[in-house]
Amino acid sequence: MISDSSSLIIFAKINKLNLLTKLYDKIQITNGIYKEIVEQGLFINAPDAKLIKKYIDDKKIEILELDKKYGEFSKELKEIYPQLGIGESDAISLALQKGDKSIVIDEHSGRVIAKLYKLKPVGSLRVLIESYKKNIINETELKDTIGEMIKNKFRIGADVITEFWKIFEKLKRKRD
Amino acid sequence: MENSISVRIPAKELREIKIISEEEKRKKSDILREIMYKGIMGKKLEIALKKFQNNEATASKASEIAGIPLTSFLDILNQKSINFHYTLEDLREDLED
Repeated sequence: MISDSSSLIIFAKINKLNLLTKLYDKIQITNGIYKEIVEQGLFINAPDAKLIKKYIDDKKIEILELDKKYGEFSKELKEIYPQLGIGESDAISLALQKGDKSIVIDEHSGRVIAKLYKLKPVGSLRVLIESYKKNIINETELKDTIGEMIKNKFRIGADVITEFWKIFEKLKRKRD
Repeated sequence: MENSISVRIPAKELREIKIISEEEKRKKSDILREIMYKGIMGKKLEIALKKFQNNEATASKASEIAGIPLTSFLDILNQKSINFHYTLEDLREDLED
């Protein structure tokens, strides 16, 4: 599964990269994403960059090269859609190169562009729900993780969180 | 490469620079260069935050504009209590099926 930069950093910041690798086996990024999240992060000694580096050393996150065609495509994407950073343009390009159907991406403007190219965006909250459905985490861990995430790493609107728990309760009733 | 330009500095600011220069025992020109660098970084961050909030830049793009690592930009969003752009529509899309 390919991930964009911000979502990966957020999972690293809450020390839950293991959820991604348990759920999807391997996470893939490009060299450009590596520079953005590891090289630049290590430059300021960011703990999240060190953790991601460890996952790369352990071969749980792999770096794939964009070929010439898709490398050019990523640059073009950034020109056509100036709201995108290398995190999104590279993730989208790598998915198209590999023929993947989905990518991990949270930010609305990145998701919109991913969908234009027929990719299914998978947000952090979906990763957490999937982890719960597959019994990788239980309800308490889900609540703690989301609490930690929205408290100081990934702020999202209160309306979104309320709706999330509503959907979660429905899902739980279905399972029981 | 360094270039020289002459700038008129208001007396009030010049006094402040003199005080800082005496306090830190450094040349006034060094203090000025440092202040200018900090000012530029601050201004770039201001532009980046505005673009992020206006939905004109993702965090990845905004960190590029600010000239700082993405991880630092994400921390700044958090310190300033700025929400991510993740809508109800995004959530429903994420949790369907």
